[in-house]
Amino acid sequence: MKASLFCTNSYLSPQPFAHEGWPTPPRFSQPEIGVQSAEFALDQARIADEAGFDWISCSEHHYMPGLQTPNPGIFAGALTQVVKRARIALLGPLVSMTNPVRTAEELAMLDQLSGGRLVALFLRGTPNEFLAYGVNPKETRARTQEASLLILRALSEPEPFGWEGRYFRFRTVAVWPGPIQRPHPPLFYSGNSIESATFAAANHFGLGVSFYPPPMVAQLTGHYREQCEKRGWRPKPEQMIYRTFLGVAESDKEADGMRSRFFGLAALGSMFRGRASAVGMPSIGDAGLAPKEIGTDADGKNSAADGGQAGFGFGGLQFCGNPDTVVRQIGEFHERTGIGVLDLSFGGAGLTPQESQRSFRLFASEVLPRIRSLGAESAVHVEATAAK
Amino acid sequence: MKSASKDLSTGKITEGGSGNAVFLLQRAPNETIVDQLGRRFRVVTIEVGPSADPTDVARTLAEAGARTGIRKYSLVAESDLAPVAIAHAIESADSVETLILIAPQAIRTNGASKDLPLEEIKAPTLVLFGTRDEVIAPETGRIYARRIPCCFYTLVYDAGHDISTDRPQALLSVACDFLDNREKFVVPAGSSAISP
Repeated sequence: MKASLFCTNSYLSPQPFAHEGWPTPPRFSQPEIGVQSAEFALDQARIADEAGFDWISCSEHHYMPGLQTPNPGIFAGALTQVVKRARIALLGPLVSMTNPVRTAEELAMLDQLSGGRLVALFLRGTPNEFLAYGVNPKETRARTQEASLLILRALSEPEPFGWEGRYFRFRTVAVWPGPIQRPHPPLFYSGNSIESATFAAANHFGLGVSFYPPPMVAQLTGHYREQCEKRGWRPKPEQMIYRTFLGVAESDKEADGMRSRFFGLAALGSMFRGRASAVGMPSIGDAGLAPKEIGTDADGKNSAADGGQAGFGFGGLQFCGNPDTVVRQIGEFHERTGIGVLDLSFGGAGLTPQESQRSFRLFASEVLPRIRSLGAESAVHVEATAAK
Repeated sequence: MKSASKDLSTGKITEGGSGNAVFLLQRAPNETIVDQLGRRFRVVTIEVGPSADPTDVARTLAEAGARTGIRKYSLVAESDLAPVAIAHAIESADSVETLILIAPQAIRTNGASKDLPLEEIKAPTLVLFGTRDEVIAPETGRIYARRIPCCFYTLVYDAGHDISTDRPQALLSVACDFLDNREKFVVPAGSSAISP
């Protein structure tokens, strides 16, 4: 099992988090806090690298203080200069709403800056984010698929080429510099729906699942592996990522306290109010509610459009307890899902910065060394099978 | 488009439309493509039939030029008719102004060409492959791009080998731009202003 630190570059002052609704007005952004936030985030990334994390990740999000990485490529560029050993994981660009050729150029450049340590996951985005660049939510699945294949082609095509797409047209594409890893860096595709998992398998992408509870993750990875088998290939454990929240404390009792407070401020919930409610976002007043079925909000699944209360995947600390408990939970999770990379966030509303820091340190020292071997055996099996 | 048909010794030609001449070499006519092209160009559809061999096709092509009296034209060919079109473009370099090869089968997927001196093609050439082509790998387009002196290799997303059936509008869009503007088709001509 590999571990990735989800580096959010969160704004360090609580003031803007009290604002209800999305987007958060820029008037809350204070220059000095902005500088401190970026320095803190990069410092965390450096510490995680030294502590043995395998990947340091960042993700594209817009107009909110909790995730200050609207252009994740820029933040990843900064990461390449402070993270010396771990992979730089761009998980990921929202390819449904940006220029795919520009994204391909950024990925290639990040691979260059990191000396061939880049991995990337193509995401569709949450409905509120489609408003940031004015993209029709109904077109985003098709746009994500086309953009992903165009980026893949742009990263690996040795000759200048043109692209006549349904949503994108480029008469001249010739990405320079080319990626360091050939034919291209490891690429993943969002796997939060059955359709997406099928697409990932069909196009030899790895799979990225986020925030679902383990039974649904198992359903998605099971479907993905089945689809891969159908197409004659078998993914390695490290080709399946799971992003979630994790809390470690000295004792289970302390950890239970963290669990009960997590999302107590419902700060992330506010991103689904305000203008974002125009796109039929779910109300996650009770953020701890589990999703009802596999599918994204963009598909109208797990939404409160019918007046009911919706569940949303990122409602809780998926792994939580003392180090022994968390090692056991992760072992069971791996056994059930086959996931080989955990992309972990240690922060979140309701937890103090001290709790998040302690959780991060305990994970690095007491948990990470003990989960390393998970998945190693099946990876060897996959490679042996592939060699035959 | 108004058209007139003539039976030749080795095939059939249909002519219609007005404007710059386009010779469309096909096994069976695709009405959408012929009709749409005919609204902007003088289209000579050369139908050679499913069993015509390369020698017949070459003869039909030469005969079509003589019968119509057209001295300068663009040449469009699909799939297994591409080798004949390439040979004709080389032999009749003074007549063929631009060449469009749609999912051409002139080079095998392993890179071996069918003894065609692609380097001798003088006309600006647009080579199109569908991203889902299962008859010949779209990556074959790279070889045309390297060997033809003025080649524009373009992928048509979500189309298989039969691009003109799978995504006719995408094909027409890029083909018409190329026929109109040749090498300058890479320069966007439409306005992006929202409220000029």
